[in-house]
Amino acid sequence: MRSNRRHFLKGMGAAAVGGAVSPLLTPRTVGAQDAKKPKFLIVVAGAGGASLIDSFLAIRESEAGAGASTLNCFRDAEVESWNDTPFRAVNLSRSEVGAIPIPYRTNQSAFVRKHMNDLMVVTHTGTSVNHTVAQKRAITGNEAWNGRTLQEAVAAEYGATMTLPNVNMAAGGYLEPGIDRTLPGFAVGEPVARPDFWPLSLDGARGIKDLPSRTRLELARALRDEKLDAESTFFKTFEQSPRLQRWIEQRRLAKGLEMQDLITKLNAYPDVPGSIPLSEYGLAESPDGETVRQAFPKFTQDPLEAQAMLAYLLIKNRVSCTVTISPSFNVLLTTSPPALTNPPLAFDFSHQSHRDAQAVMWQRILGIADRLVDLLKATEFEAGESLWDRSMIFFASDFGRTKRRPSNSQSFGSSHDLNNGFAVLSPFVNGNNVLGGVDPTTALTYGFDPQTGAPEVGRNMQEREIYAGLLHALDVDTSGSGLPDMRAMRKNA
Amino acid sequence: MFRKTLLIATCTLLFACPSSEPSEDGGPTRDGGPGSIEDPNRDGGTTVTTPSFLASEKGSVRFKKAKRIEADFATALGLSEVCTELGQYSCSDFIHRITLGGVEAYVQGLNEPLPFTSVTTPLAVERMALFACRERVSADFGNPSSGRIFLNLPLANGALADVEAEEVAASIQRLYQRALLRVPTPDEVEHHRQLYRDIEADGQPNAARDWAVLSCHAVLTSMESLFY
Repeated sequence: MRSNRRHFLKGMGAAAVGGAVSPLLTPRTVGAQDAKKPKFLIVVAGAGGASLIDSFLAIRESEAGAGASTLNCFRDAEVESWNDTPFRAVNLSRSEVGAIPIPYRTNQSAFVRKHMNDLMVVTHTGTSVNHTVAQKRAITGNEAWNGRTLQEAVAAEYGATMTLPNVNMAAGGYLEPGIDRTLPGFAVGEPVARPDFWPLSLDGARGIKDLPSRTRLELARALRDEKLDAESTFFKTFEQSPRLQRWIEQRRLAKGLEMQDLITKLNAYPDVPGSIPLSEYGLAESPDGETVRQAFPKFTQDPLEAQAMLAYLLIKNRVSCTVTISPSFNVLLTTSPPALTNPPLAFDFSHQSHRDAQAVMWQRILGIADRLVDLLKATEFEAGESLWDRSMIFFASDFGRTKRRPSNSQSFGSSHDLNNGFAVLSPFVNGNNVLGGVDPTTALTYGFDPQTGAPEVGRNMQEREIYAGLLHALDVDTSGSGLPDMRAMRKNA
Repeated sequence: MFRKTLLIATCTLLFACPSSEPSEDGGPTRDGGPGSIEDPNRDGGTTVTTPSFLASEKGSVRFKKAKRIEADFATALGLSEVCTELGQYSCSDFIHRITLGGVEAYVQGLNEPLPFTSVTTPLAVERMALFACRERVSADFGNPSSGRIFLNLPLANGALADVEAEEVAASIQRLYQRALLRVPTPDEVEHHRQLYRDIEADGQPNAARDWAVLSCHAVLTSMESLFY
């Protein structure tokens, strides 16, 4: 990656404030006139361990050789494959999810056929089987670039002119900020826990009845900021507190949120007198409300749908250039009709029932991604280019799952395994390709040549290699990072 | 015996060391640090007037977070309920719970509070303060003689007849004593009076009520109120 003047200035700015000062306090060093045309990164977390041999790299029993009965492979009829794509799909129909007596039916084939040209699978072997540690390493490449997360790197590259360039709705290690103290402050992730009601915290006064006018409110804010706080003994005593300095900066940034009317633009709820009485309180739904509700009709019950909905609205309104969403570890089911939307522990329910948990959860996150892609494709970025033309969905995963099963069992538990891989969906990546491969007799994945993409049996791809490949596909300037060139992961590179 | 000897020795050392602590009256120190008396010739031989506090080198303060903020606002303003969004959703327990540093393990799976305040935290705090202040002021203005904070203000057609009136200063003093547990400085009282003059200058109605709500808002959302 080449070095340039902007990179030098960013480095100098960071060096000037590095050390004792919080990243959040570092200034935006890139002016609007310098901002690159943004690319967008959506991280969909495979919380609990999304196993690729239970989706795009599935193995048939007839391929697994003598050990098939004790390897995590499928009845031949349950795995679908095609001549024009290396991906496979697992389609299951069962009467229960482990001990949960709720039937389910999955169809990965539809996703593969629809998105195969933008889909890339890269193999990978991680370094931790602890959920939180592995989750964080999945987004930092095991501290590949000073501990900067993928999302922070993208926000630093493209988010200088955005209000909240990096919004994170995940939990655990996927939510943890990186540790790169040279990161520009604006690139630090903004955590969001309740995406459906979060827009109500994007204005300090709208939606509250019988208040003074905005003009008068600004007088009070000025009094507080410039007189009461500035002159108080409390502030003078603790002025050096990073928390207070951060608070001052956050107050400043918060005004930008109000000016953009995000309390309206990001609000997916319609006006429902009684339960969501928007108009009674002077509020309104987003102009995109109906569109996103059609795409994610269960957003009031399913937090992941609400997250995806907000992810789209944040990108569509150019508030963010990277958004992270994640299923939670909490069970989500309905009894009438019976449906299990999210098993307890998400993908990690594989401990109890591997095959069912993987099937239900893959269906869940692929379905969410599919709808997000549809929305992004239908929305123009500029000059005929769609938002999807500038986006990437990275299916992060904690780790893989163990590859064995009790003899011929179709319902079994699995543990954590370092060996796995990642799925990536984007026009920027080397689509319709599996980089690396899987040994059908062990179910272990192997790596690939970073330049040509040719499979290399015996090679394990490192976390930093995948991290680098994703950032380079997103055209993030990583000069000076020492990250390897992963040309094979980029489209037409 | 040994412990007693050790205690005496420690005390002796402490008294012998140069102190950077403020004097008993909280006055200036003598070690050249912030707030110290130093170099009488520096200002043409006149002793420099210094503030009567010692700036903290570590600056270790914490944000109060949702439940404590709600409890403090409720206590300060004498309210049983501080804030509900859209007339029904609790601010501290539901809508702004995580933004204000709370946790929500059962639905969100968020077992640990956020490690820092977020960009939206100041706005969420302002909403809580505005809800609460509106309620307090409505009650006080509805019953001027027996209110909690804004008592017996000289009102005339929605305005303060005399912003210099003693009742105005007394209201500000009650606000500070209840919200910050201290009396306001004369400068602070004057700042609030000036806020009223600025509000009144726009010629819009309800200047007195708006001033009361916004004075309350400014104090409750000050850093002194929100951090400890």
